[in-house]
Amino acid sequence: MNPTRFAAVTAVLIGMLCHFQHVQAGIVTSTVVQSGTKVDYIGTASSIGQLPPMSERPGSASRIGTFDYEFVDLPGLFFLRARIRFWVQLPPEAIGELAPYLVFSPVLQGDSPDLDLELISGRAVKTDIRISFDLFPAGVGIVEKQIDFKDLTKEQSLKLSSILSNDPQQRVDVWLASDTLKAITVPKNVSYISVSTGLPTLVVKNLTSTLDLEFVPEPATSVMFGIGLSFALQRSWKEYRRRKGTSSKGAKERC
Amino acid sequence: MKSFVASFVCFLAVAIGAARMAKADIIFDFAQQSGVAENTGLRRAVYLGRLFNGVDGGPFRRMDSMYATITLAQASGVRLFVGNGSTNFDNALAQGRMTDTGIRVTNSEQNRTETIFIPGSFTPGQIGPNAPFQIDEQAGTAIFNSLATNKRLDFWLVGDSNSGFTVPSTVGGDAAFFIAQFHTTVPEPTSILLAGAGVGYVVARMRGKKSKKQSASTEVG
Repeated sequence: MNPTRFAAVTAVLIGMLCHFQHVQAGIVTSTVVQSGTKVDYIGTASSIGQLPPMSERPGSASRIGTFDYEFVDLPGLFFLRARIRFWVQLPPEAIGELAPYLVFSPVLQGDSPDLDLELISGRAVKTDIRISFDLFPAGVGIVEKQIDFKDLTKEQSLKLSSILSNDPQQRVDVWLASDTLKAITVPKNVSYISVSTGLPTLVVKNLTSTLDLEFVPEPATSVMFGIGLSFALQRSWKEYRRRKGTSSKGAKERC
Repeated sequence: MKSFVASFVCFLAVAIGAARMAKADIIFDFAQQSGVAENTGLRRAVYLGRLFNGVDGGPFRRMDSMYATITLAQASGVRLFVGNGSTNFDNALAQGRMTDTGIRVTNSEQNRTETIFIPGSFTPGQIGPNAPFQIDEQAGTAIFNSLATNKRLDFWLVGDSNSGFTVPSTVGGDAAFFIAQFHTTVPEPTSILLAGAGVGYVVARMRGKKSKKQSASTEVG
């Protein structure tokens, strides 16, 4: 590799590295009051013809919440990972493959929207983020579960980006879905009888959830940035060489 | 005249005795909800918990009415059963150890985990401000007998198979409790009257036979 090209490639790499380092820590957070809407769900239908009536679907999907964000440059973002904190009551059998998973969908209106239909139409996407009964704290009750950041696939990332881009307020519905379990509750709020003071007392709590998304500029943007920088450096290097060559030729001619 | 006096004395004795035994009573207790569910092809039963440990209801009574306070979510027409058995609801029901109180529980808002007061708010140990839920006579007797026999009562919520209602045992680490209050009956005055009259009649007949025998033996003498 000649020195010109070596310098150009080095500059491009350093430029890209700086670019990635600058945005790698990009995490956005949204905290909302939980929704609590619950619908019947099957999760496995791949066409409308396979979709049974709502009441015959064996599973359930509970809307955790409608999360909203404020991205400046949303269409150019690639979502790497997501993590969530929320309140839920899970049955003890919700472990392993039976543990419910998160689904991203556009904001769905009405009391009982059809999440299966959204998945079939490609407007919603399932994730690999599962919430297990035995994830601490475990118990037969309403507990606050929090998972560490989990990777999103390219498809999930693009779909999430599309959902957020197509909503004027950059919102996304996040659902806790199970193909087979119905006894899952993600309550909006909770009231219960406590005797912590010695006498039975009614306690009321509003419950919130937080969804964090980690993002970088999407790879295409980074590549374009690198190529552009490379071209610019090459052009300026050639210009410099040309000028240097011209000036040394003129000096020789003068001599 | 002697027969009449005897019947009257017996009637008074029985009436006073019955009234003393059948003093109207209110029993009230609370415990942490269990929330453990059993789902079968027949039904989904969630164990609420055990109350009235060691309580003796006394003789000649039945549960007349009750109040309850339960925390649950996504319930629609869920039935409250009471009886003897903390596991295997289907088995307990088949063996006649469980009684349907007649209470049906429905969440007013399906997206909340709510505390439901049945049939409305109440002051523990008292009647009111809302009238208690009336338990039918057969169920009331069965519940009372279960308490009298076992000196405890197990509570279950029962819905359709695969129904999604949930009962929390804890909320964020804080225990969630349920409450039940039963009102037992005083035997009705007519029953006391009939019982007294019956006993009086039997005593009078016995005395009548005795006096006839005595007079017969005197005549022989």
